[in-house]
Amino acid sequence: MSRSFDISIGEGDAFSVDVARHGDRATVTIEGRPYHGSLRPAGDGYELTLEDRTERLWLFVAGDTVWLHAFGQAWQAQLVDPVERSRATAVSGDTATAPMPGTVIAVNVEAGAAVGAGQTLVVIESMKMQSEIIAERDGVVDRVFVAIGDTFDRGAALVALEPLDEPEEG
Amino acid sequence: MSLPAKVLVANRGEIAVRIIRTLRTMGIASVAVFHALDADGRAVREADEAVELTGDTPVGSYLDIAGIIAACQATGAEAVHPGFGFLSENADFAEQLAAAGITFIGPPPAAIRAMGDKIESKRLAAAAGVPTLPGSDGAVADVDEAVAVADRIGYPVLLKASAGGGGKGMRTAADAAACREAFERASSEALASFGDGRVFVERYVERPRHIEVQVLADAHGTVLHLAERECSIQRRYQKVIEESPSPAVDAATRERIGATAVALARAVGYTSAGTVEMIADEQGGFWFLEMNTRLQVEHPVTEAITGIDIVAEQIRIAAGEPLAFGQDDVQVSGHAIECRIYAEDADAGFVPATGRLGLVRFPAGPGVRIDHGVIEGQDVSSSFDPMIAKVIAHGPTRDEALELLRDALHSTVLLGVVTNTAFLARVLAHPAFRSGETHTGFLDDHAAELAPVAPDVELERCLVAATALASPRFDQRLAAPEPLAGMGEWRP
Repeated sequence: MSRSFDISIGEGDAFSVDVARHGDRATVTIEGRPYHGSLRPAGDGYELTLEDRTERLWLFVAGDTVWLHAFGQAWQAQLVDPVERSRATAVSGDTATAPMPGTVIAVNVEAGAAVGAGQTLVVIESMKMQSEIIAERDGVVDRVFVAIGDTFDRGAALVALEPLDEPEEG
Repeated sequence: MSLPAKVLVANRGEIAVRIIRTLRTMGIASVAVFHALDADGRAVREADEAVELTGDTPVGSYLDIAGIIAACQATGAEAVHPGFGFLSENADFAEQLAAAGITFIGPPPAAIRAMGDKIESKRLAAAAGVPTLPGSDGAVADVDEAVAVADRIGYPVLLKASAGGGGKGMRTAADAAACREAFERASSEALASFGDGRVFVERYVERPRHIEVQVLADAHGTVLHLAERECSIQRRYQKVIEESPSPAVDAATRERIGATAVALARAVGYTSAGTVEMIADEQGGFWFLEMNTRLQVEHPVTEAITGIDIVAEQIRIAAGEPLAFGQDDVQVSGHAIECRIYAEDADAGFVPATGRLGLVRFPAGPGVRIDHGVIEGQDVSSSFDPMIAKVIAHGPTRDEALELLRDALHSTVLLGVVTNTAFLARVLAHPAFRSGETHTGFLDDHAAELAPVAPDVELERCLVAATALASPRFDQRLAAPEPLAGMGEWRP
């Protein structure tokens, strides 16, 4: 059988979802329950039919992020491959990332420096607001990815700490 | 004097597009200026000509006075409309344009200077008979004087930077100890932000409404007001929803505050469009806040209820024409409300958002006006102000304008970047907003009720299914052949 993907809407829970297409109709299985539906272009957007319900909506697919406008507002859906996620979790927490796009105002640490949880690593400015990027845990700085004056996008890696445990050879 | 044949628009985004639109209806050729990031932008497309500006930063390009004057000379533009922000309240810019024989579509440099300083403008307002809040007579010399003034006028007090704006260099204090600390912080913040650490002290008004009067003045001595706007719905000291008329202002009050705004404009020899900002307390008192010597972001609500194209009037006034109407001709018709759509995460402290606008659809219809400067597929970067569009609705009553605006927000489709559109719709739906109980702390006071509501189970299922059907991820595997697919219809 085919693999499923996890889909979440906004901050909501993730649902395990599978799709089986047959012609222009499909069976969408959400957490083990099948629903019959279709998604067809209609006007300048789309029409979703799911069981006996029909909704007008607009869509923009940006990789694994799917933007929807439905029920009078925008929604951000995230698609995650459960296999890829299990590989990625080992890295999180070790890298301080940018909560918003902006410019680097100050870099307070360098590679090799010991830092404590809560210590300021980098100061950033975005839309005239300054924010401090702090260490989430005690550790040793592995890499500083930015310098004063650099601009970056939301989610960009700013400072990485050395992993607590050496990753196993795989 | 006659109207210019060609006008350069020294701005970007929606306001540049909006000014170009009026130039076109007046039969005046338009010149856009742009930084490389805006090369494919809507303003550049809509203008008759466009000239690229280069600067140290993207914002710096639009502040390049020499570059803009050179662009006027290269294209033969006889006048410059500065829009708002950037060089719109820069007296040196206005003077340098004049020296180059180019008309600045705005007030005289002296009026810009007089109103640009909070202490000087408050003094002038008081002299013109505009009520001002009790406070220090100009900047306080030191922390001890700040506390002495605060003790005299009573707490709470507000400490404000003379050169301030946007909430920078502004602190409240509830007692003498807090006043000492607030003075140090306001002063150092003002020095860091504006290079001017002067601070003044005035009485703090609790739960104030922000009410402002639009004025128009020509060079022949006619000064009019175009009623008031209320702009109390603010976040980070920036307006997000504005309306006209204010639900808290009756006809008699409109006349009273309108007359004081006109008196101030006269006192400083004002011409063009300007706005006298005031704060109002719950007892109906009004006090001078500042005068903005430029077109305001929220001018469309005034245009909607008066039928006057403010940009067109600015252009005619700058060309020396007298206003073609008097105060009695200005009639308030119906009610208009504007929402500013920003690329920002309203549910996470209003932090700016970036990304590519993959899908853009704006509503259209009677009573709905959209001012925007975006094109589908464009990037929203952190280099500029994150305002994407203004959605304005005009109806016979406030309730009808509200309904029109809510419908318009619900059918404003902006996908690919997080925007505050749904948040704005929630504010409009809030009972306190609907009943006009607004003040500048509204968004903080009602933060809990304005938080997003998770979709119910059935809506969420629709969204999940649409996502699955739209994502190419599921097509990376072989589609199930028909006989097997039929098995999917089996239900337990």
